[in-house]
Amino acid sequence: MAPTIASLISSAEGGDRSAADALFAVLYSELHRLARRELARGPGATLGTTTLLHEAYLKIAQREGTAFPDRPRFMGYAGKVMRSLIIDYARSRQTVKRGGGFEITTLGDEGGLPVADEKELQQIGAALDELEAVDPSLAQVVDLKFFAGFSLAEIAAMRGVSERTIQRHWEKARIYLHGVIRQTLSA
Amino acid sequence: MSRRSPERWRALSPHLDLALEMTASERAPWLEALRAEDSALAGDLAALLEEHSTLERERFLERSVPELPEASLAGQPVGAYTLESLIGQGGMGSVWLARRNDGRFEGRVAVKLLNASLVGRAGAERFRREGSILAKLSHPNIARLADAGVSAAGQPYIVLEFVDGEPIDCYCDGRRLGVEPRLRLFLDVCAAVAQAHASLVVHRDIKPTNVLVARDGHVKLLDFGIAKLLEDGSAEGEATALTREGGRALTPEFAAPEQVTGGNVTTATDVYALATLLYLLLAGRHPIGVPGGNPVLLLKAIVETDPKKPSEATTGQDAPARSTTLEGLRRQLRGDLDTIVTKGLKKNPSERYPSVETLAADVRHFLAHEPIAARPDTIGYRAAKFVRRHRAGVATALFAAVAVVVGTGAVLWQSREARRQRDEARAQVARADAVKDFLGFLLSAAAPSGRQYSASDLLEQGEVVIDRQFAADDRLRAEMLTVVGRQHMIAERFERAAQVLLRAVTAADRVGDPALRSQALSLLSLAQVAAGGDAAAPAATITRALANLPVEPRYASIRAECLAQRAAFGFFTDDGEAMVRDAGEAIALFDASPFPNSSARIDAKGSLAYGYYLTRQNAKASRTYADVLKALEQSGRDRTIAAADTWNNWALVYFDGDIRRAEELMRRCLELRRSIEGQDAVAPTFLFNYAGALHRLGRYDEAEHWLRETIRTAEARKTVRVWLDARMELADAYTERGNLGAAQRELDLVAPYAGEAHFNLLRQAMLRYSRGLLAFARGDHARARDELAESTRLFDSARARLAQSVFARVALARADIALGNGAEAEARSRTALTLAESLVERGSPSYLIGLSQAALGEAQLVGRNPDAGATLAAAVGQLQQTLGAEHPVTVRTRRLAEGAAR
Repeated sequence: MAPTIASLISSAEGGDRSAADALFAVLYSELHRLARRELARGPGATLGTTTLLHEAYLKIAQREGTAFPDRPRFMGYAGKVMRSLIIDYARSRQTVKRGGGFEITTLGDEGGLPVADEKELQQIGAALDELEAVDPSLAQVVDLKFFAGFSLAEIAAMRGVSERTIQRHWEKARIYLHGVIRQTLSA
Repeated sequence: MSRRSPERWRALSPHLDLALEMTASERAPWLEALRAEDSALAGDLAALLEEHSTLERERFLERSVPELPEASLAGQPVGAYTLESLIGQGGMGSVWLARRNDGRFEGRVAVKLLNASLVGRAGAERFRREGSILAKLSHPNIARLADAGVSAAGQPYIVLEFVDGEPIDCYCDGRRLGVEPRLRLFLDVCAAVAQAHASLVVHRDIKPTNVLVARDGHVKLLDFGIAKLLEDGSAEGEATALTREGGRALTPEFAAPEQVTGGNVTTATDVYALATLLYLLLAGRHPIGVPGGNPVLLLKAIVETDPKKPSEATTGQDAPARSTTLEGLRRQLRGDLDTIVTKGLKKNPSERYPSVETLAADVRHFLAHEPIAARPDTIGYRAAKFVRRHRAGVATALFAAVAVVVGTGAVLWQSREARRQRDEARAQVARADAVKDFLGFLLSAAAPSGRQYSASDLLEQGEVVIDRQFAADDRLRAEMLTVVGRQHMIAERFERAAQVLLRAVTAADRVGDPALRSQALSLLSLAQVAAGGDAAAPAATITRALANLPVEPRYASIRAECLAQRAAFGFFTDDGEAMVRDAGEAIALFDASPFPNSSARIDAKGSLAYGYYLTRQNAKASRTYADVLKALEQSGRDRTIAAADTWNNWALVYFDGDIRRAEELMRRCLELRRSIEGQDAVAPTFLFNYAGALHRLGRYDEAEHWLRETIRTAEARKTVRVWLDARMELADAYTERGNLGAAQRELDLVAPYAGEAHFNLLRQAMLRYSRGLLAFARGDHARARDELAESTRLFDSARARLAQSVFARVALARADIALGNGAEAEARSRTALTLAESLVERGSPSYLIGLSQAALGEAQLVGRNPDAGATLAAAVGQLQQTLGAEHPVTVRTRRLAEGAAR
């Protein structure tokens, strides 16, 4: 039987590298499946990333029972998975567009400005990897806020700290990431 | 070592935490202190903080991530259509080929399914309404909008005529069309856009992928007015359209500067986009280029970088697609085509072709080998860069015209109203949304084509459109006329406002809705007061309107708004007591209402504070302003114009007393405005206020700097009143510093305006004062006395209880002392003292009291009055407390006091 997500989380927290990788893969496919299912409900079913994460938590916690970690701990892992999911989606969308050759129908997505585009997401993702090595807690705030769509207040509640503190973490993370991206662009 | 290496970052991190908690004014001295201890650390921190302000400007990481992909919707019904196949995907939603599902044959259509968030919660009705306006747009070169609506499942959609074609640039390149056939296609595009403009619709998003050439060779424009249609009703006007979270239907490469800076989008915006398209068709590249794909650099370039001429920009790669050589292509473009494109691409909308027709006419002239109307750039022309940054459209543009009271310009009711319009959007006052959106539609889309027009033209046009569109709907007409009336008020056209609002009241009467009626009526009353009318009748009107409102909790909020309007009378009548009473009652009602309007409540609180200020209850005013700022912070609006205005008005509380405090508060206002609006976009009123505080504090270098900035900004904005006030104040500063020639030059510049209407009694008094001061400095004491006596007389006839009036009396006393009239000087300085004391709360420190006491003491000294010593000692006490021990006036008075003691 495959290991539960709960057991993967506790192994990963114990420093088991392969458990961490497995946890990532399992969460990724879990979120991906959930997203597809939700969206198949019909027109108008747009799916917020935050809702998706909440539903994923409910579903997995229900399946795995009481041993499952609390919501904040889960979100700590799932935020990073969400980052990766979104970047992959953005990439696949980009490919479809290039192959489609029928651009007339897109409303203002060429520049990708209204919504962050694939290239920008990749840059942010790469910079986040660097930040993670230096200060993982800051990187997690970005995953939860930018990619998973949580508000700073929600993140503060998850971490049990003041919103002001999370606001500061967010600003510091932005400073770090902005510096990395600027340096990459000018290099 | 890199600032972002793990060790360095860990060392910097705690300091960064501290710095992020500080205000900008706290940060600078802190960094300086740190620099003395550890310069490398301070340097790194400064760089990181700089990075922070850059990223704040860029709104880094504030955009949303893409929605997760939608599952296949083929076969699903949307409105009267069945989706067939996906033909495009974008950040804004997806596009489907579809057919009618009721059997009626209307050919194929394209259905755009939009992300629900783009339409906004309150926007569905507006979406349908505007969709129906756009559907009336009919032209052979425009793809028809067949339908727009929101499906039962809440999915907003747009149904468009399906066009099977390719983007115009691909079409031209694919067929290797030369310059002439390209121009002829471009003329078809112009014809379509001109027709739309004549129907009061602006495209706002013209780009090659929206300009298709169908298989039969006909040009078809897509998405007319869609960009506007999609604008989120809840969006705040001031946000830069392109960088806002959630996003709008705009393509940065083809955005005009005013779209980037959040200015007014008008027909001139389409002219810019057409010129960009023409540039691309001719030169084979984008006028600005796409620098490194970095959107921020692109936006910056759109606003700041002048494009190369097409003939210079084109390269050998582009020539074959135009069936020519590079030399041949350059020869064709050089001259007239360069000039036409350059004129269309002016950063400043008013320098572009005034209409699409005039642009098209020049292209036709070129094709017919006739002279074109546009003139090539000269160096001088190009040097006049588009440096002014527009914000928040009409409201801010009009806001620049806020009247200043001589000396200190209070941000009066108008500006509060202007920013309330903006902040209200954020606060989601759902009731007003549809109306406000329609206003936005009028202002941006209902632009008369073919000529320059002003905001006032638009409002007039708006009134016509309202009558035409909503002739049968009294409720909507009443609401919209109210909005138009409100806009007239923001623009200080109070009489026009009253006329329009009267019509709104009439329409509201027919609806019989007491809420609607009382809102229009209370605004009408305010307009009448603002127009200079007597306040008694309008106040009674509001009392009656309130009496007619049913006593039900759900009307509490409306009741409160009516009272808040009446409280705002005080900004015009200076009746502080009524203001305190009405604002206090409004706040109590807001608190009791089940639908509290927090934004309007904060405004009422601002009125309350202003009322306290008018009634010289400085401590209460100060506490109330602090509350207002706290409330703004709690609602996340502490970095808004509303907050800046509050700082400004708070500063006024101390302007006639504790001037150092006033300077601090005014500086907060200015810093905030400069960070929100940009360095060069702050209205001159605020620069002038800040300069005034510095001047009073004797900080001449800074004061002169800011006065010159005020003059420069006022010139650019053509706000004559501030310009005059700043020139006079600058003359005074020069005089006080002994720079008499410069002072004379300033006054010479002011003199020609002295006969004009805006040169009211107060300004006449100010001019006399400045002349008197200069005469005094030149040693012509008799002339000084005459000018200053006339100045005080004018101040008195204007019934102005102003700091300037104290200055004039003090100066007059000193002229009398110089002329040896000790007794008169003593009498003059006593009136100055009485006036100064009436300007502040009893017992609070005041430099004006200090100045008056100093003059009185000096007069007593001349008259050998034994009280001189005590008076001068009291003066020194006041002056040290307010102006500081080093201020030249304090130093001088201290010397006199010491002399008197001996």
